[in-house]
Parts: sequence; structure tokens; C-alpha cells
Amino acid sequence: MLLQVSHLQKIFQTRFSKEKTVALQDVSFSVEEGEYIAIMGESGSGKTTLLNTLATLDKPTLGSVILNGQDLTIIKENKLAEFRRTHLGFIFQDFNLLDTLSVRDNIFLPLVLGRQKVRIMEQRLEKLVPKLNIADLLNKQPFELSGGQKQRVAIARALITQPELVLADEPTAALDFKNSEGLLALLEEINDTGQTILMVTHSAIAASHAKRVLFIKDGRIFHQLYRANREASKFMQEISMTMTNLLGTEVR
Amino acid sequence: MFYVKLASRNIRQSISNFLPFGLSSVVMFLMNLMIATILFSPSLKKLPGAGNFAMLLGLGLTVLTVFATIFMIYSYRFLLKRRTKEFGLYNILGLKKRHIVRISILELMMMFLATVVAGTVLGIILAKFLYLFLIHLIGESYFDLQWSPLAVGIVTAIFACIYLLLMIISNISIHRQSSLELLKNASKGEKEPKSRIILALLGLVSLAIGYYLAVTVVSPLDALTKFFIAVLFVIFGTLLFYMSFTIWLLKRQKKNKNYYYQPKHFITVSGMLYRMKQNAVGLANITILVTMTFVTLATTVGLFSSINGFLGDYFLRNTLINVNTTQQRSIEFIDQVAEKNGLALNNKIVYELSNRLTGAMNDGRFENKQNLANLTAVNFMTADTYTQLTGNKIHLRENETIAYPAVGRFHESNVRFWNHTFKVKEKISEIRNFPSTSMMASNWLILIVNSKEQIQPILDDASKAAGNRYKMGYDTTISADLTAKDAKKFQKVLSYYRVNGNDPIKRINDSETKIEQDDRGEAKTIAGMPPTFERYDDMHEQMTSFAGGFLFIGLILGFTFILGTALIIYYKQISEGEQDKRSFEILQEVGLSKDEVRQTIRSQVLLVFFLPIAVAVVHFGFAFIMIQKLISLFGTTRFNLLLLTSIGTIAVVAVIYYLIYKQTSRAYYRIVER
Repeated sequence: MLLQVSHLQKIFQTRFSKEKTVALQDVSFSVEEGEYIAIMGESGSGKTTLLNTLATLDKPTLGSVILNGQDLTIIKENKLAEFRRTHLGFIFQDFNLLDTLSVRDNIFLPLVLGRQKVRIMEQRLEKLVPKLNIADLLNKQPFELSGGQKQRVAIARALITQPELVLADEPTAALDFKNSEGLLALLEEINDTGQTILMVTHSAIAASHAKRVLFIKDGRIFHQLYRANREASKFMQEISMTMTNLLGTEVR
Repeated sequence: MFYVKLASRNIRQSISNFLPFGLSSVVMFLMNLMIATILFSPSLKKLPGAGNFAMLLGLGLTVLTVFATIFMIYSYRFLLKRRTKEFGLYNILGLKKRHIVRISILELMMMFLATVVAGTVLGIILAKFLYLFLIHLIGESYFDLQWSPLAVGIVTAIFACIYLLLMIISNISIHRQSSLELLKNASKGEKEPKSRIILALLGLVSLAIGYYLAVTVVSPLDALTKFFIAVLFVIFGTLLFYMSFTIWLLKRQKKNKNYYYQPKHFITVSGMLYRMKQNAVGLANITILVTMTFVTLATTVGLFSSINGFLGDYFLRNTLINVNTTQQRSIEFIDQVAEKNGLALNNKIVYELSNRLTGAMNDGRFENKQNLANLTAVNFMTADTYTQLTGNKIHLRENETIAYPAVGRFHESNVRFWNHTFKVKEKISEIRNFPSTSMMASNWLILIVNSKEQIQPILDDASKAAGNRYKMGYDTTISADLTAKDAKKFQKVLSYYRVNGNDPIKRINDSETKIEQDDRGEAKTIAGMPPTFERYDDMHEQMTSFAGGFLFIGLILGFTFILGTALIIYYKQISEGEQDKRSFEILQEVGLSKDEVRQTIRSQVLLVFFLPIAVAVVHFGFAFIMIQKLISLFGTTRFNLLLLTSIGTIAVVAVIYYLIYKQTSRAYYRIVER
């Protein structure tokens, strides 16, 4: 087992009011190595809080997140950045590329921060380039790229550290339909090479490319679907139906 | 009315944008008002040397006005840039550009009124305070600084012009942009700047020329003429330096992969490179302002602080009497007059020099040319006089001389006057009981020769070359200590006598000929000159008032320059903070810890902090050579004191600069870490 999330709880409380907002409530699930999981939910369902907790950007109120035997919730503050850099890869909704760096340097960024040797950085990049089809982009500046290209670069940056887990936050939200399709196909391919991916999304199309979909609402996970060997389009129908049911019936 | 409401609401709501602009406006107004108030104050005329002082103030006011104009434009463009989005929104929501322009003009008018009111009120309060300070510097107590409506009126008019200019700028820039452009943020992507080797070379060459001009200055007057040319070259060179050379350097660092791909260098180098193009101008401005602050303060502080030393060098005793004839006749005459009037001259030092030859010294050849660049005054001294002053015996052959360059440099092995050539046997750096400085702006060279027989032919040739109708000869300087009462009386008595070389000394009945040392017109010389009379105390008072006034203006200008620097740095920090905010968020998500972020920011900030200071110090190092010469124009030649005051000034300015940087960096951190 790669990732074990157990009894996660997150309560937000503003300093001056007694009102508490429960963002996550007793969330437990686990992820096997090589899995591709989508966590689906409406906005406000707690999925972003969950992702932030997994990404160590946020600390849970209760519960634990164990990645490869290490509990992320007890890592010291000053070790967190290093942990993120070495164990996790990030793909963001709005790409988060640095304008000041060329595409190549953007991809190198986490390795440079980890004081990796130049030779190794170049070797790893060489391996990624054909997979992501970014050979022509390397010497450009981020502002010269289209959204789809930017996201491919962001994926390269996430993969170059060879992370145990790639976390993707609505990776298709800023892309048009065609680019979204291409990107989702790409993520599937990457997953096929054995890379574990955890994606958060509200799009049924995006979720339908995953191997397993967890549904989250009001801070609880209460349903999951396996894709098995179905076509993405078939799987999407089931996801859509599930979502409709979820929204239709009050869970409480 | 609607627009007025909108405009005033705009100012109130985005006060954080308007505040720096308003602040710089008020401060510039205040500084101009200060100088104008003193300039138009009726008491100014009562000051000794009021003409000089008024001229200095006028110059100061001009410099400040130019500076204020440039600076206000800079601040306003910054303000406009931050508000483009707001204006774009108005445009989309249905306001015509004409209306937007009207709003911005109304805003400017409100700012103008606020500036005048706040500036005048603060000005009245500050004037009293500054006045006390000025009086302390000048050492006068009857100076009364009044609030003058005329000064307020003139400065208000100046600022009305500046604001009119701003309105035109706002009109043009709003009309030029399309509404979509207005709405879009200014954060468009930018291509990495190309390194332009030609510009880099041009910048270096320009700097080199400016520096070369500074280094090769030979005399104070030369410095005066070359100073402004050198300044222009250096300003131009600085701008090009930041625009190209630094980019080239950073690019080279980037090419070195083992250096570049290290966490600290990686972010710093790429960030600087990305920013260099847009910030070259800002950095150049800061550098030039800092250099200007250094130069202004060092010059004025140096001038002020070296008065005492200079006068100490010049006045061997508290009174100098110069008589235009030989030593023997002079002493006889002076002693006789003193005895008759019952005056006591104590601790007398007497020496005789040939009349002064003024011309150009080229490779040891004296030419009868009044060339400003290497103007040199030459006086001959006999070996006997030298021995009498110092007690040292010297032996010189007929064609030998000992050179004493009291002001300026002299390295030649031969020195030639028309067809008389002397071999320079020795060069000395001081003569005991002899002044080591002069009141002249030019270089001053003393040549010690065997006897008067070698001197007279040269004096005759000089007289012929200048077309003079009188014969050149010798004059004698008597330094002695006199009480103030005796000195006054003596000066009056002496003013009735006329002396000209070997002619008999005459006594006349009216003394109206002005007693000024350099007032040696031909007719007057032939008629005979009264002995000149100089007092330490008089000179001290005069120079203190002059240098004090100079220092006062220097301090005001220096303060304004520092303030300008502060505001530019503040603007830079704010705009960079907004640009960098996102970058640092991303860096943290990708795996840079908060501490590392802080370290990176610090190293980036320090680099930007040190670059202008370092460049400014280098600039100043070269300017120092010129300043030294320029100051000696006013009679100061003390190298060590000037060096010390300069270093002190740089240290003080650097500390202030650092404090400013620290304060404004806080603004940066706040934005980035929010």
C-alpha cells in the first residue's frame, strides 16, 4: 500500500467566532501503488482541503496520512518543503509556471532546489521529452505557450523528481475540450508506466479516465466506483448518474 | 459635480496608491519653498557676500525645480500604471475616454490644491526651524526669516506648470491605450532580454571617457569646465551599463550550468535577468541620485569643514600685509609707519617674491596664454630669502632652480621661460614659514633661484610679452600678529600710501582706491598701490558665511536626493513585490521552504541594494578627484580632510540608504508573504 488515509478530520474555525466549519469528516481510504484515483465532488465539498492535506500544505485536525510508511501529518514545518520536493509531484489548475524561467528551467526547478547534479537533471529531462512531446518548447518562455503546452510542461516538472505520488488539482479546468482530452490521455499513459496519480476534479469527463473514482460530499467519502476495463465514455455515464443521485438525495 | 465626486472618492479609496505620489509632491513643494523663502527674504541682503549667496540659492532652486519635475513625472507614471485597470473598467462600463481624462485631471487638481495647502503650512513651520539651522551654519544672528507670499506664489506657479505637464501626460497615456489594453494587467510576459554587446561596449566606453576626464583634470578651473561633460558621460554610461552590461554578465552566469543550477543562484540570476530590462532605468536613477547625494554632501561638507585648515595654511600670522616693492624698502616703510602711529607688529615673518607671472605651463615651458585648463601662477624666490625663512643654506648654480609646487603638480626636469632655461635640481613639498596655499584658483609654482640677476631678465621679457608699460619687480609679504584695534587703525593709515616698485612711496590725501588684492589694473599699478591688508578674522567670517550657505543648500539638495531615492526604491519594491508574489507562492508549492524563500529574497534584495551603492561609490571615487580640484577653486587643498569628510558622508548616506531599503523591503515582504 502506497498511501493510507485514516480518519482524517479538518475543522476550520475563525479566530473571533465560535462557528466551526467542518471541511473533512472521518475520511479514510487507501491508494495502491500504480493506481489512478479521481476524487470527485462539488465545489465546497472538501476535495480541495483533502488535496491540500495530502500535499502537506495544510495540517488536519485529526487523523493521519501515511505515505510509504511515513506519517505526513507529523513532519516538522521546516522539513515539509523538502518532503514535497522529493516525494510528491504537483499539477495545478493554472499551471503555476514561473514567468522568469525558461521552460527548461521551469522543469528543472524542483531538482535545482534539491541540489541535483546538472548531468542527472539533463538525463531525466531527456527521458521525459518524447513522452510529453515538449522538445520544441524547451527554450521558450512560458508566456509563449498555449494552455495545453503549459500543462504538459507542468507535468514534466511534476514527473522529473520521480515522485511516489502525483497530485493533480483540476488539471483540465483551464483548458479547452480538445486540450483536455489530450491531457487526460497523457495522464492515462503516464499512469500506465506505473506512476501513481491522485486527481481532484469536479468534471465527470476528467474523472472517467481514472481507474477508481471516490465521491466526496460535505467532507465525507461515501461512495466509490471502479472503472475495471470499461471505456472511458461508458464509465463517465455511470459517474454522471452517481453524481446526479448524490445531488438529488440529501445524505444527512 | 459627478466627476468631482468620483475623483475625490478615487483618491480616498486608493489612498495607498495616491499617498506616495502626494508625499513626493508635498516634499518637493516644501523643499522648493524653503529655498525660495530664503532667496526672497529681505534680510538676505544684509548678509556679507549676499550676491554670491543669492546666486547659489538661485542655482539650488533651479536644480530642485528640474529634479522636482522629473521626479513628479516618475511618480505620476507609476500611479497611472497602477490604475490602468481601474480606468479600463470605467471605459468598459460606459465612460468615454474624454470623461476618464476629466476624472484624472480633477484628481490631479485636487492633489495640486492639497499640495499647495499642506506645503505652505508645513513650510511656515519648517522655515523657522531651518532658519535657526542656517543661522547656526552661517554664524549670523540678525537674519530674520519671514514667511513670504512672493516665495509661495512663485513655487505655486512652478508646481502649477508641473501639474499641467502631468495632466498632459495623463491625457496622452489614457488616449493611447485601447480599453482592452487598459483592462488587461500590465503583467504581460516578457522575452528574456538579448545581450547587446554594442550597447555594453558603448556604456563602458562612455563610463571610461567620463572617468578619464575626471582623472586627467589638472587644475581647479579645468575641473569646472570638464565637470558637466564628465557628468553627462557618466549618466549615459550608467544607464547603458545597467541596460546591457549587467544583462551580458548575468547571461554569462546563466551559461555556466554548474553555477546557475544552484538553488540560490538559480532564482536570483533568472529573476534579475528577467527584471533587468524594465529596471535598468530604475537602478540607473537610484545610482545617479545616490552619486549626486554623495557629491553634493561631500563637496559642501568638505568645503565647510576645511575653512579653518585652509586659513591656518594661508595665514602664518593673524594679519598679512603685502607691499609692492622689495623687502628692504617694505620693512623700512612699514616699520616707520607703525612706529609713527604707535602700533605693535609681533612675531613678524617677512619674505620677498618676484611679481607673479600668470600663464600656461606646458611640458616645462611657460607660455603667455591665459588657458583655463592649465593656468599656473609662478613666483620666483631668491636663495637668500629661502635661507632667511628656513635657516637652511642652499647652493644653486646660475641655471639651476628648486621647484616648490604649492598648488598643483610639477614633474618636469627643466623649466623654460622664453629663452631662459633652468634645470630643476630638486622638488620640495614645503617651505617653512611660507604659506602652502593661495587664494588664487590656478596652480601655484614657486621657483627658488640663485639671485635676482637670473630673475630680472625673465620679468622684463614677461612684461614685454604682456605689453605692459610698467616694469615688473618684487613684492614683499609681512605676516605679523596685531590686535584687532591696531589692525583696524593700521589698515586705514596704510590706505593713504601708494607703492610701485622702486618709485618713491607717496602719501596721498584720499584713500578711495579700493584695497583689494587682485585689483591690479595697469593704470593703478603705475600710480602705485596701497599695501594690501588681510585679516584672519575677516576672511574667516566671509568664508564661513559663503561655505555655510553652500553647505545649507547642499544639505537641502542632499536631503531631497535621498528622499527621491527612497521613493524610487519604494516604488520599485512595491511593483516588484506584486510581480513576485505569485512566483514565491509557486516556489513554495514546488518545494521551497519559507526560510529558503526568505533567504532567496534577501540575497536578491541585497544584490539590488548593493549594486547602486557600489556603482555610486565607484562613480564618486572618480568624482572625488574633480571635487578636490573644484573645492581648491574656493581655496581648499587639504586632501586628507576632504577624504575623511567624503568617507564620512558616504557612510552616513549608505546607512540612511540601508534604513530606507530595510523599511521598504518590509513592504515587499508583506506583499510577497501575504
